[in-house]
Amino acid sequence: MAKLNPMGPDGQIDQMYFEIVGAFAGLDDSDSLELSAALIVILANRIGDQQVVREAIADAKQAVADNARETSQSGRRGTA
Amino acid sequence: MARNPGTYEYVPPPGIAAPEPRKRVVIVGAGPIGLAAAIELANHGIPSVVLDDDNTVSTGSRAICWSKRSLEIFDRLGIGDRVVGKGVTWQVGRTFHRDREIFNFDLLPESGHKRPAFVNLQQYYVEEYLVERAQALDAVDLRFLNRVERVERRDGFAVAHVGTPDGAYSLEAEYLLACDGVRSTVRSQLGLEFVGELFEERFLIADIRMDADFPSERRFWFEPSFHDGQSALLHKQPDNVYRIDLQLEPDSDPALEKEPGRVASRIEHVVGTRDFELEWVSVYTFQCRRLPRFVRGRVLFLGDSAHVVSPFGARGGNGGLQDVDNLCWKLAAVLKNRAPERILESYDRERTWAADENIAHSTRTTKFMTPSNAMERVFRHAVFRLAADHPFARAWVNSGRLSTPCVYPSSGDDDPALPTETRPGAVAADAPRDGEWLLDSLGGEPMLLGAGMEPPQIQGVRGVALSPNEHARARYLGNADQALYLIRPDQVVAARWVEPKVGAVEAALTAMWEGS
Repeated sequence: MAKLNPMGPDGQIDQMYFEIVGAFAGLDDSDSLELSAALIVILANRIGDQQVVREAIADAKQAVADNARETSQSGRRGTA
Repeated sequence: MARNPGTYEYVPPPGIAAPEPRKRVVIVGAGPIGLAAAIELANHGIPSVVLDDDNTVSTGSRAICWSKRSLEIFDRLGIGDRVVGKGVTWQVGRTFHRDREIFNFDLLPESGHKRPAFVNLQQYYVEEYLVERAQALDAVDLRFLNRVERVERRDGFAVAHVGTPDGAYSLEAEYLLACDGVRSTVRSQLGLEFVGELFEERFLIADIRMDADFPSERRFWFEPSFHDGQSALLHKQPDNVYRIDLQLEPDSDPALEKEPGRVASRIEHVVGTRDFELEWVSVYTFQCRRLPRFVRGRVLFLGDSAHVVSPFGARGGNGGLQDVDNLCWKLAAVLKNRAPERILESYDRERTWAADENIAHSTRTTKFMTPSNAMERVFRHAVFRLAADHPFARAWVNSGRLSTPCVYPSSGDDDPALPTETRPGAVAADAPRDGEWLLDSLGGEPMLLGAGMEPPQIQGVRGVALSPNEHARARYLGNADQALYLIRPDQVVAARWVEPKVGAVEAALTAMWEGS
């Protein structure tokens, strides 16, 4: 699969990042949620491969779970 | 007023006076599944006794949406033309979100098939036609007002204890077929339980009669303004009868919801007029459940007694008819000593597989219709919004995945050069054949179908040749010049070859009779 390159002439990854977050500029939480959902549905359709989407979901869930664990651990350290 | 179908005659059964000889097959329930089983067994030369606790056809439309596969089965039962002639053939489905149509689909009749994709006809008509057909057959002994009260399993047979207006009697059967519906007496008598999911949502289901000129379409609304944001479905039936399904709030009171004034005002919002008669109202909850096994020794379960699904997708009645289709040739073969009893295990294996497929589709539809949390609602809404402009997203909208016959897992010989549509395990596709229809010439017994070739002479199987017209080529040959198909008595492809060897064909035939 083609990979985006941060060091190319137009800084593809950086540009993509700001295109994604920029899409949510000015939206309230409810509209943001709906835009995220529409985007996920469109991207999943473009990917068109259940296994790739399944792995992406697992990676994303893992990242969020790790993050939640770290936050709660640092919270405990803070109170010690 | 609701259509009054009249009553069927009760005749005191011989068993009241003196014990009857053991029957080959006793069928409990004269609904569409029990009647179809009796007629199909008669087609195979097996007599049966059908016991029903009632003496009328069903109240209310109930199963209305008959699939192409069911119509093909009705053809073999001898009522196909009546069902199609009386029924409403529909092919357009419109899906609305709020009050806007987001898309429609057209089940264009695929050319080269005898039967259309779907015909709507009230269950009571189907039962009436099946009763008439069954009563014309000597091999079917149809007994109304014969209520099965108790069932016993014995070694090598089953006993039904039956109550009638003239008292009780017992009937022994080599095999007992439980076709007695979702509240099956046979199932509870054997202490068997469904496993699967029950849903909290309730649906109100109603038949109305009105002089309206609605087109023959299926209409489905998500969150319409006329119905508190819940779902609604409208189907046209013959005689100016319309079927309406309305999703109710989970905490609604079923007794209150059935109150005619309340129903009428809800329906007025759907059809835009108060000028209709209410024929039948019922409230139901969804369930997607089945028995772990459909074969319990000499007791076999078919239709709703074996599995239940939510109604969106037309998988209840159609699924039950496919049970009949799958079982009857096997049971007849066992009773005629043509196949070992273990062939019945293949009924269990294939139809539990099919039930799981129907349950999976039905469960996903139910969940789409009833989002269980905020994020599900957000995603569903996003799908609705996308569907208006993006054709791909229309397929994500799930208002019911309409019944198609499942493809059974099969280890039959296959050749990858041939079209996937007719692979082993699939129902043979229809095609024109010499001015008639291929499916009308298949079935009832095993057959060798030679596409673009003369089928070889093989003991115990009849040959049918299919000259390669456009449809036959697309469905049976692909790029091959010739192919030989072994077709089971239920029109399912058992095995196929481009270069058939007699030994391989004979082995496949043996495997078919062994249910492997």
